[in-house]
Amino acid sequence: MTTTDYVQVSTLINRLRQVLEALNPANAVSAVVTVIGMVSEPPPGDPDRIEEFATAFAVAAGDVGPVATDVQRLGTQRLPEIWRGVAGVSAAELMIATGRLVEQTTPQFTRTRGALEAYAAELRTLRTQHADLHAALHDAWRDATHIAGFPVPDPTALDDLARSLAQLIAGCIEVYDRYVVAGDALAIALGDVAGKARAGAMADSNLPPATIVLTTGSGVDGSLNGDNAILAGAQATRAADRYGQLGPEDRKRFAELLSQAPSQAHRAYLLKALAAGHPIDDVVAFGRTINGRTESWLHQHLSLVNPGQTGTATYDGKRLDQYNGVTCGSMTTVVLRSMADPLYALHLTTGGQPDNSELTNIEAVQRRLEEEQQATYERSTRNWPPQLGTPPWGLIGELNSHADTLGTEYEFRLVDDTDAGSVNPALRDAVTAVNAGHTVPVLVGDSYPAHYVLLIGHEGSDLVVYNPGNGQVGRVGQDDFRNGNLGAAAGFRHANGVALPS
Amino acid sequence: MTESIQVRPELLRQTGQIPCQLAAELRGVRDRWNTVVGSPGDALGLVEVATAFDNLHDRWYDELSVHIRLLEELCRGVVLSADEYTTSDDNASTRLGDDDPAKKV
Repeated sequence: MTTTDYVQVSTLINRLRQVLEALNPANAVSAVVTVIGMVSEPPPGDPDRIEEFATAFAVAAGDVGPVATDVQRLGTQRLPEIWRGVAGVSAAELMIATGRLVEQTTPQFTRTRGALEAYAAELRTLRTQHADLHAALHDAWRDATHIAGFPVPDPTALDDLARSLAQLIAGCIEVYDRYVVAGDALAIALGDVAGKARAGAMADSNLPPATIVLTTGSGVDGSLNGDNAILAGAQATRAADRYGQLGPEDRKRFAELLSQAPSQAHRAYLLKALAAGHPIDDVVAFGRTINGRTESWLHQHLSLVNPGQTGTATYDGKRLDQYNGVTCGSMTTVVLRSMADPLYALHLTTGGQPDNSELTNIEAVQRRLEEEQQATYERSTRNWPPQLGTPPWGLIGELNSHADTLGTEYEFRLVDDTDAGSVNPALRDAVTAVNAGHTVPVLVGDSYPAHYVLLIGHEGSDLVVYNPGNGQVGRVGQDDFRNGNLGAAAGFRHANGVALPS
Repeated sequence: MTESIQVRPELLRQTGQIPCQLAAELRGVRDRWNTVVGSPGDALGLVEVATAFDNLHDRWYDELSVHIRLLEELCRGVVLSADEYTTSDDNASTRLGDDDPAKKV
C-alpha cells in the first residue's frame, strides 16, 4: 500500500487497527498475508539524502555569518567614517538593515538543520524497525503454513501466530504513527522557518529591494521578535501584489509616501494598509496621518495585540478583553481584523481623529471596542439564540465578509483532540497559517465548545494565543494543543475547532 | 541632527566595491546551498513534508536573492555617489577657476 501522504498513512493505520481488532487464531493466516501486503512499503524517505540537506543548511548557516558581520560593519563603521551627510546616513542605515536581515539566515538555517537531522534519525530508526517487523511477519507466516519446510498448514501454530501477529501489527501501527508525528514536526518547523523569510515574501514584486529590506525588518514594538513583524509574510506578499497592480500615477504617489516616511515602521504600516486593500486615496490619507507621529505612537494605535510579548494586552493601561460573557467570538474577530488592517486599528483607537482627545481617551476607545464587538456579534448571530454566543458559521461568515481586507477566506474545521487523525492535521494547518502571517480563531471547551481564542503566533514548539476572556497573550505547547491541555492559555482544555484560511 | 557633508570620494569608491564582493560571496553561498537542496525529489517522503520543504527552499532562495540584489544596488549606488562627488568637486573647481578673474585676462 502506498504511503506518500498523510491520508494514505492514516488509512493504513486505521486498516491495521481493524485487522488487529478482528484478529483470532481462525483468521490469523489470512490476516498475516493481508498485513504483509499492507506494510510491504517502508515509511518513504531517504535518511542519507535528508542528512545531506541538513549539512547543506549547516554549511550555508556558517558561511552567511561572516557576510552578515561584514555588511553590518560597513554600515556601522566604514561608511560613517568616510561619508557624512544625509546620503551617507541613508546608505549606512540601509547597510545595517541589510546586515540584520542577512544575519537572520544563520539561526533559521541552523534550526532547519536540527529539524532535518531529527527527522532523518527518526526515519532511519523507523525504516529499520519496519524491515525487522516485515521479516518477522514473513517468518510468522512461514511457521504457520509450513511443516519441516513443506507448504503444509500447521494448525498447532495458529494460537502462537495470532499472539505474535498481534504484537507485530501493533509494532507496525507504532511505526506509522511515529512516522506521521515526525513528519508533522518537520513540516511545522519548516513552515516556521519559511515564514521568517520576510524579504523573500516580496521578492517577486516591483518594489525596490531597499524598500523591501526597510519594511520587513520592523516589529510592532520596534525590533523583530518572534511573530511580531508589522508586515507578516502573507501581508508582505499581498502588499507587493497590490503595489504591482497600481497604475503609474498611483504607484508614484505611493512611492512618494514611502520616501517621506520617517522610519521603517512607518513604511511597514503603509505597506500593510496597501495589503489590506484600501484605495490609494485612503492609504495616502493614512500616510499623512501617521507620518508626523512617533514609532511608539504607531505601535500603540495600530497594533493592539503584540504576538511577541506575553502578558496582558492593554491599551492605555486598560485590559483589551471581551466586554460581556458572549462576545468572545466577536472580540476575537475584532482583534484578528485589527492585526490585518492598520486603518481599522486606527479607527478603533482614534475614531479617525487622532488629535481629538474626546475620541482618543481610554473611555472613548473602550466604548468603540464595545460597540464594535456588539455590531460584530449581531451580524454573526443572526437566526441564532443570542445568549449562546457566536456559532462557528457566524464567525466564518463575519470573517469572510472581510476577505478582501484579510487577504483570504476562512473555513471552519471541527477538531477531536482524542483522535490523532483529527487533531494533528488541524494543528499542522493552523500553525502553517500562522507561520504564513495569518491569525487563526480556535474554538475551545471542556465538555462542550464554549469559547473562542485567537492563535496569533508560533515560536519553536510554542503557540502564542490571545484569550479575549481575560485579555492575556499566553504561550502553550503544541503537545498541549494535541493532548487537551490548553487551559493555561485558553481558559478551556480542549480544541474543538479551528477557523483556517482556505 | 545630521552632520554637514564630508566625503572622501576615493575611499568611498573603494569601499563601494565591498558590497559587490559581499554580494558575490552571498551568491556563492546561495548557489552551493541550492545545488544540494534545490531538487529534493522524493527524499523527504510524505508529500506534505516535501511541500513544506519546497516552500522553505523557495522562500529562502528569494530571501537571499533580495539581499544579493540590494548589496549590488548599494555597491553601484555608493560608487556612483563617489563618482558624482568627484565630478561635482572637479566641476566646482573648474567653475571657480573659470570665474577666477585672473584667468580671464
